[in-house]
Amino acid sequence: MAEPLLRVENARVVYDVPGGAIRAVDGVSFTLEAGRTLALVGESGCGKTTMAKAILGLEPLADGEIRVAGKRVSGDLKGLAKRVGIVWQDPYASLDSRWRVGRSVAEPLLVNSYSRADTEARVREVMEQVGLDPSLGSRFPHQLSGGQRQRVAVARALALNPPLVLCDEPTAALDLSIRAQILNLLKDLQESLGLAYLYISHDLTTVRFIADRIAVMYLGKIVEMGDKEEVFSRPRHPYTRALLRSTPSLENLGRVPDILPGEIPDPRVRITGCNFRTRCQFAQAKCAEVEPGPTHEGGRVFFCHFPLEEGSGTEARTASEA
Amino acid sequence: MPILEVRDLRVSIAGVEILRGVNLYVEEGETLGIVGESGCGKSMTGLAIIGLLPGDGRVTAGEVLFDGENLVQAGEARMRQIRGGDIAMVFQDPFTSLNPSMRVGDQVAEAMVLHRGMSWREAREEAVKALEAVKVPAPKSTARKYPHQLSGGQRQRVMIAMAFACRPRLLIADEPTTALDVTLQAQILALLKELQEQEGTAVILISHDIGVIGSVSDRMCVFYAGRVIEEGATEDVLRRARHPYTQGLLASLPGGRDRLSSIPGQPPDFRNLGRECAFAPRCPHRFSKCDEEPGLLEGDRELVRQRAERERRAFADLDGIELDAGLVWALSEESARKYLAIPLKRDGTMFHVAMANPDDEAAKNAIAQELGGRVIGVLASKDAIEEAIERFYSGGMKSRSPHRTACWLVVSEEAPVG
Repeated sequence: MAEPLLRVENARVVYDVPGGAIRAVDGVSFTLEAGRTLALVGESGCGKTTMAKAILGLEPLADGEIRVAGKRVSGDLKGLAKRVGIVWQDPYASLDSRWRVGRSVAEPLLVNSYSRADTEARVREVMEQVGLDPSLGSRFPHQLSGGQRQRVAVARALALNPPLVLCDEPTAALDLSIRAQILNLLKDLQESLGLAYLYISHDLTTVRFIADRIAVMYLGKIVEMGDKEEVFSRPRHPYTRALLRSTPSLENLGRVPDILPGEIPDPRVRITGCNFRTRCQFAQAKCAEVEPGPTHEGGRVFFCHFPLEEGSGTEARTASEA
Repeated sequence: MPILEVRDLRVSIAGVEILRGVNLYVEEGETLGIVGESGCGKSMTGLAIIGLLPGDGRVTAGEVLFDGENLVQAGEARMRQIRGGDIAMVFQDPFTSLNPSMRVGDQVAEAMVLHRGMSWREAREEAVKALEAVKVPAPKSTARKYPHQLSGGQRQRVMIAMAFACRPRLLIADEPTTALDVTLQAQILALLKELQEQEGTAVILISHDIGVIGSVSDRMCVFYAGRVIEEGATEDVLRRARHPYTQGLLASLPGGRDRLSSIPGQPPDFRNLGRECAFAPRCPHRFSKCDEEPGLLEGDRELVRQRAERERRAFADLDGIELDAGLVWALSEESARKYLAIPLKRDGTMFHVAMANPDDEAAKNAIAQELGGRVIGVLASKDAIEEAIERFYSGGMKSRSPHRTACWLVVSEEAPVG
């Protein structure tokens, strides 16, 4: 089998904090093929952004291994930027407010020893690819609209032509009509450049649009992963279903979404057995004793002793078609 | 009588008018949703109602009638009585709106001391009950904690406890769940709904999230460029949106499609707004009348929808003609009684056909005057319609801008309803 573009194997990121250690990423494994989109979804604190940082080499792994295009991500980050680009949530924060945006797009090129002339040509090219007039390169971030700023951030991520782009909530700070433009842009770029996206988001409606596969994370672990339509229409893990049902939908006007009680527990406290059992309505004695292992079902994997029946899933409640 | 009525409210900040004549009302016990994109004026409307405009913001015209009292005229002393008393607020970020150096129980109690004349001892006991009512776990010990010791969801519950502490008659909640995860969002929305029903409070819920507005509001307003551009029962607005902007917003929501439609362009710069409709530069249906800003129209959506469906059916199986999903429209509600303009497509080019009763001279005049269309004739059969479209189409319609000029009169055999 050919090596996938991104391979994460049993990755573990641990933070030492007063009162214990937080396993922000706790034995996560997945792969992402070239040209495909995998969405990492889950609530704040589930470890999805930490996972992205680990792939960028910004968080050391306590255990496990990450390979991008066959090369191991380790302490030496030289050349990694040619393999992975990143688009952060808020372009206002991720672009230097005192730099003309053209300089922000050029910086990864200059750091990687591009000549002045090559850099200029590439900046122009990549700005056009993201639908920006290259003359906007001489503006400062505050002189651009929110949508234009996020396009600049995408251009910067693409500058070195990486085959893999991490997107960490790239549309969460954007208004609806602008969000649609950026999502369309990401899809177009994927098609024309063959990009793979690791798309991190808590917004399931967006994920449903952009992703091919979905990995649902809870407290540092993946609880369910599989083809988008399968996971959305027939979730097997109770947490996946709770997330889907919590999302307000235009199909259910006048109805407050179903409630998953409680909150994410204190991550310093290790939970025996299944992580999710403290909030799970189906939890039984076994769930406290034995940590559920992976169950494979076609292209899907989930970690649950008492999975939801096939077909008892949510009624695709996140589609928001009016 | 509505508990709150905002009439033609205009607010300027540093000389730029950012609320340009807002009209809305909230009935007792009702939830009014306000939706719109950043900078549309939805939050500013909330702040203007409670007299908390930022430093250089001023109300330049209009009224905020709360229970008959014009709050625009009320002095600061009176506003302090009202804020936190009759009108309570919940903001987006509970961390910045709670006092970090004060125990949360005391913060809840403070409102009761100030507004309900309780002693601190009484108020602290009441505060524990209030925290219990918003389902904070271990309310007694939580009351003694500081905001940083609570999770985001718990902090928002404390904010809600504070808001409801003095039994407000109106609650203004500005993006109360935006900083929260979906599961907590669902919890907080359910809590708001429950307390509202218990207490009979009227709620203004401001959110950019149409899903949130759809799940909890009874009526809703859509804001664009400092104005309400569409208002109605939530289900009506979301299922039968009539403003092209509302339709555009709804169409840009991700559904099960491969591509999202997006509204071209971006919201206008308030400094350069002219007399034209503020949405006109982005509107697919723009034509000459859009050079003047329209007012809010009143009308029966269901009636218009039924009529539109019937009239559209006349075009449903014509050769080469596609029904466009766009708005069925008339220039004003009064005009809608006379004619309806229906967007159609041929070879990808949009054009409009206006339908009216052939015996109604006033209708034909209205079409000619308001739309600049011309009378093709009485079209009693599909063949006649097809032929007339062909004639019109080959007469050079293609060369002209489709939505500005292609208003064209077909007189139908069926009389409009209503």
